[in-house]
Parts: sequence; structure tokens; C-alpha cells
Amino acid sequence: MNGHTPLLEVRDLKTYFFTRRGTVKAVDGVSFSLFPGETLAVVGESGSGKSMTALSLVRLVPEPAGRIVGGEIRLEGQDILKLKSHEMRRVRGGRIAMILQDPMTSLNPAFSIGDQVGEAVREHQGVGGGELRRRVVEALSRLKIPSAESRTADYPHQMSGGMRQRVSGAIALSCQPRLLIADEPTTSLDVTIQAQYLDLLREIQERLGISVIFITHDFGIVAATAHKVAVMYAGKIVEMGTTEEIFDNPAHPYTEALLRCVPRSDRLESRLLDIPGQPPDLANLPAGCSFAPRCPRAMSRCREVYPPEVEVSPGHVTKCWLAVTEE
Amino acid sequence: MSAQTILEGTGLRKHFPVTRGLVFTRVNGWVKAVDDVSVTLQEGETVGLVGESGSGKTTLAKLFLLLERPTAGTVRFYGKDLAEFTREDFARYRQTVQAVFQDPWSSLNPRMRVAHIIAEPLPRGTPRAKVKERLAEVLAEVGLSPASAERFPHEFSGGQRQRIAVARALVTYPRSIILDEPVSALDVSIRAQVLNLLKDIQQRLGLAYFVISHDLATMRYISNRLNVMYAGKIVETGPSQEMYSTPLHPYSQALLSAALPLHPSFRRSRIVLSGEVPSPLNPPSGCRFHPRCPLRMEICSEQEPLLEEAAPGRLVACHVVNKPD
Repeated sequence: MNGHTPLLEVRDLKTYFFTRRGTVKAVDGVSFSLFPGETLAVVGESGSGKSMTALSLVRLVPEPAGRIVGGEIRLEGQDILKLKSHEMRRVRGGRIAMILQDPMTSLNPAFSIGDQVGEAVREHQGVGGGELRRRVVEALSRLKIPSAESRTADYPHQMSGGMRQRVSGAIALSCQPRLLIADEPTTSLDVTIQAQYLDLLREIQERLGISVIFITHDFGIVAATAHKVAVMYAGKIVEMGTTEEIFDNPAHPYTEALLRCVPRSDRLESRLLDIPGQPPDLANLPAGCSFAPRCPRAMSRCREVYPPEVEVSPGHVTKCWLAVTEE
Repeated sequence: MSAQTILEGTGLRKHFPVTRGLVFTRVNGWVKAVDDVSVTLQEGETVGLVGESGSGKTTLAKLFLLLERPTAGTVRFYGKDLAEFTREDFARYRQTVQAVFQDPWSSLNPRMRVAHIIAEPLPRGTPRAKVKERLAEVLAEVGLSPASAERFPHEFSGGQRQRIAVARALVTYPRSIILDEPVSALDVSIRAQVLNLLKDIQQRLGLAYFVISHDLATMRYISNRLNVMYAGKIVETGPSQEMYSTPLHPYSQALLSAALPLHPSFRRSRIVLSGEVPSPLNPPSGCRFHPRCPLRMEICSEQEPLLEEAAPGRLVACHVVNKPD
């Protein structure tokens, strides 16, 4: 499945927000690579920087408050941070496509479904007329929207949430992207519809061989879809590895706690493990490891110096002093 | 627990008219949000209600919170019919049956101080010293510092806000709390805190909970009895543990199997339902689940199945499960 050269290589990406309260390091030195056909799940809570990482990849960070201040994003070898803005527009929706959380807000209520899918195809592939129409129907049928032909005239409000999210998917996949970024695509969907949608996305991904970045807070979605996992906390990737590794041998106490604090449907606990405290204030991070104030195993060292990245097993890295001392 | 029944809803229906025209309004049809539903809530137990959006679970909660009047059916409160309630009975009802809502960002008034928010449900004319004392008690109960009372909701994080909402519900010494998706708006690491808090409070005070959620794992963790609702009807009810180990109704089975895997090695074959939740305006004939049901028979589209006992303590509304042979 893996090619030899990565499709996407992110090196030391930094996206900061400059506010009156100080500099908020929303993305603080994130690095990862993604191979063709691979699915990476970026997991974190709100404020962990996972969505900002996604927006940085398509250079849609809300400016002027926020700015990408450093790093490289190499897509098929080319650093897209160096592209001019009109060149970037060709990449966005072309080679990199995105599905957002809420189709209610990401679709325009005033245009028909056909117009909205057609806009992407026309912009990126320069086709029109009957050919455009044919491609729109094809894009909609790819997402298994029933009677796609007649639904092109429908407006978003005439569709259910699940169908609307399929339309977003159809727009995203209409121009044969190499990379699909899905930011919490199923949080607004019902359980049975979520299962349908995830299955559909996986099937399409396998057929087209595209790479996917899933932004989520739900380890269930990770288990269902991802090959690799990156766990984010306070703007940094604190642990990364294959999905099996992360589930079986979590090395960072935060990952471990996240995995254990959700109620499981296969057995009954009398009490859930909970993570004390709150996610940190990004404008006012503690010294040392940002998770230390909530960490049950924090040592004095953790409160002083940020831990270095350690490889616990091949391809499985973490940033935690516990992993350092074990060696 | 010699359980006394706090709430008993029998044959509850809530139909909303769909109207057309501004001046000469005509009724075009009815949305049957809740259609012949019976549920009970006893002292000290947790009853769960799961269903997808549009299944009518929130409307059912509104009926119990007196925010909607049922179209038909009765609600009994400690055996007394709501229709025969006096003014005092309503006051007592509202103190005994409290609520916590999903979104602590919209359920707390941003202009009120926490002390004011929490004390609001207390009867008018409660002496100030008494209010202060009760406030301190409930803040301690939910694990907030006494100093929180003087602050505003925006100064708190999501988990703490939900604690404020729980404190407000506790202030009138209720016997039961209706919780509508109490943790789904919260971060994963905070959900566990709030769920544990709810369990602790229940144990200390012996409260009954009526919990509404679409999250099956949360339900299993918190509830004793479970009701599965589909398109305005309860399709299965029984003790939670049994329903999780052996769901009987095909919809319950699909719902459980649609839950996400706990480990990448469990990417098992799931029952993935085709189609969508039907429109309550025009529900399918017969069994409302039949267009999506993998086991449907001829009778399913013709005759509506009744909720019948399929195993001890377990009621299922399904022709396939309740086959006479």
C-alpha cells in the first residue's frame, strides 16, 4: 500500500495567533509524513490545535490574527508554503480537498447541489456544458447519492444531514484530489448514518488510492479508519504511531488516559478513569510539559523542561520524560 | 430499594400540526413526534432513552418537563394524574423533577452570576440566609469552589458549566433529574468527570435519572433500564445489560453494531443500515422500521407490531421476534 516517497511531508509547522493576551501557539512544531493511500488520524480535544493543523495544510488560517510562522509543507515534493496565493488556489480543492464538520454551514443554502458541485469542477478542470453536467452526476453517484441525476436541482435544505455530508464529500472528491482532509466529518451525523458514511469514505479511498487525514476527538473513529495516529495536546504532537501500536502500547500518559476515559460498550466499569483538570490555556502554557499539571505520573523534571521526542519502537514516537528514563 | 414510581407516562402521544397559509390556516398533516409511548421512572433508578435525531426522544422529555402538553395519554406523578393537578401539585412537581440540558453554553444565562443561576429555581420568599446555605451545599456537591458563586458563566470551561447546570438542578432537593444528552457537548476527557460526578451524586442522594442520549456506550455506563426509540415509538425496552449483550429488535441490533469499534482489530462486519430515519410527517405503514429492516417479512408493512414480552422483563415490538410459533 505504501509508496516509497511520501505524498505529504510536514516539517516543524508552526501556526501562531497574535492576540492581546499574548502569542497563542496553536500549532507548535508539528511534523509528520503521509504516504499515498494512507490514513492518518489526528486526535485531540478542543484547543489542541488539530483543526488549526488542518487549516494550515490548506493555508486557510484566519489572518491577520493567525499566521503560519515557520516550517515546511511538502506536497509531492513541492513546498506549498512558498506558493503564490493564486497558485495555492489551484491546490485547494484540486490536489488537496477538504470535508468540514457541519454540512449545514459548509454548503451554501442559496445554490442548488448541482451548482455547488459544478463550481469546483469548472474552476479546477475548466469543463462546461454537457461534460460538466456529466461530471457532476458522476461525482454525486460516487458518494452513492440515490437518483443523483434528479437531485442536482435540489437545495441543501431539501436533504437530510447524511445526504448533505455526502454532497460535501462529492465536492471534495470531484477533482480527483491526492489528499483528503476530513475535519470531524461525522460529528453532526446520527450513529447509523455515521457508520454508513465512514464505510463509504473508506471504500472510495481504497478504490481511488488517496491519502486521508482525519481530524477527530473520537478514538472509535480512529479504530474504524486510521492506519496511523497522531495525538495532539496543546499544539504539539505528543505521540504518533500505527493505530495498533497506539491502542496496544500507548506510551504517553495523555493517550493512555484518553483511551481509558471513554465508557466501553463491551464491558461494564463501575467507575470511569477521569483526567483531572482542564485542557491548558494556550496563551499561558505551564513550564515544561504542558500535560504535567494533569498527569498522574508527573515528575519534578516534567514541570521544568519540555520532554524530547523518543522512539519507543520503530515508527512509534512520543514526547514524554517517562519514555526517556525507561531507556 | 423498595421502589416507588415517581413518573409514569401511559400511552403518551404528541402530534404537532403542520399548517399552511398565514391567514386562513389549514392543517396539512401531523408530525407524530411521540406516538403511543409508555415509560416509568422509579426512585433511585436510571432509565435511558436512545434513539437517533428525529426519533422523538427530546419531545418525550419535554412532556415530562411540562414544556409540552401531550396530545393524548396520561402522566402520573406519584400516582396522581397530571390532569387533576392543583397549583401546589405543579409547584411540587417542578421541584421534584428537574432538568439538565445538553449545551451548557446556551442553558446558562450569560448575564447572571452563578449564584443567581443556581438559586433561581428556589421558591420565592426563601430567606436569604437559607439560599446562601443551600448554594454552598450544592456547589460542594458538584465539586465547585464557593468562590464560583460570584462569577459569570463565561469564566468557566464546558465541564464546569455542566457542573453549574447540575447544581441548579439539585438546589430544590429533587427526586429525579431529566438529562438530555448531558455530556455530548463536552470534550472526551471531561465527559468522564461529569459522568462520574452524576453517578456519585445519584449514590449519595438516591436520585432517579431519565437520561436521553444517542451514545450507546455512555448509556451502558449510566443506565439500569434502556428504551430504544425509533420514529416516535419505543421498539425495545429492558434491563440495559441484557439489551447490550443480546439486543432483540433488528433496529437495536443495528444501532449497537453501528457503534464504533473499541480497537482496530474489531473492525468487524457491521450491520450497516441502508436508508435514513423516516420522516415523522409520513411514517411508513405497519412497522416503521420495515423499509430499513434486514429481516422484514410481508406482515411488517401491513400491520403495526405491538410491544410484547419477548423474554422476562424485555418488551419488543417486532413481528419477527414475537412470531407466534
